[in-house]
Amino acid sequence: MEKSYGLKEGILIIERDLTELDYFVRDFLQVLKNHSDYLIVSGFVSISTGRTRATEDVDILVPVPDKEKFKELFDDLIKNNFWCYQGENFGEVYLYVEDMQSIRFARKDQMFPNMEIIFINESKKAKYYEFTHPLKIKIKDFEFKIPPLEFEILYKEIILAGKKDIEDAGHLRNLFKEILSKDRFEEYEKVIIDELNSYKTK
Amino acid sequence: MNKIKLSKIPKTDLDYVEIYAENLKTNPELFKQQKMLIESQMKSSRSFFQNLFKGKDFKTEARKYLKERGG
Repeated sequence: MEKSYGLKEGILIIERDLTELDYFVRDFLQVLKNHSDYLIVSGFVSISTGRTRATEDVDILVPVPDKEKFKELFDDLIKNNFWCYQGENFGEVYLYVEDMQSIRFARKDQMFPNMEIIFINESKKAKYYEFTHPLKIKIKDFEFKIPPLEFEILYKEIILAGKKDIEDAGHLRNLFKEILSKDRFEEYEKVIIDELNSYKTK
Repeated sequence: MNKIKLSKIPKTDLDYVEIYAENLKTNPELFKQQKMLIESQMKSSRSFFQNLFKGKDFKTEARKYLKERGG
């Protein structure tokens, strides 16, 4: 019997061809990885594992850089034919970065899809936790990092909880039923509930 | 053409998502449909914005467009 995925040496292997969306993300990561660590989260995790839905943006967690490092990243992305929604030069865009606001990059002369960079530091507890517990996923020769599947499912069900998020979680729960771990669900649920409670006390 | 096997009668959108995921598990052929959908969406989006901003500076117009929509 054919299988759509497998786990090999801890890497989740998805048995499909690359799409144009994968090439977009791969090209962006090729630049980003020269400057920073990252974690792809949210919709693209579901889509890259076969969820059949549209998306405008790909969310990516990145540790907040200092000004000098950000300039290098920004200039490299521009050199590699991406443009930034928030501005033309790194100085004006860095105002968003230091304020921990998201910024977006798309390919030159295109609006969508875009990469939404979400800046994190240790104060963003749940996001920092998933960032430091990545799972590698591989589609053909394209390898990238996503959160543990159980974490992604719970985050979508408990924190985000919109219709699209519940459906994304349903996709992951059903597709990966055989490899999901009850222990990991319990471990990650605590982290996510803490995050939820921290919102309530703010 | 590969047929989708129904493990339950779908009533909600979530039911369809779950049935599709169950079928996808042992039927990688379904990825081909997903690829077609994604690439069709990207092609439509490219074409829409290139026509909308035709003859103008793309980034200037795009930022104006986003601002008008609260982006």
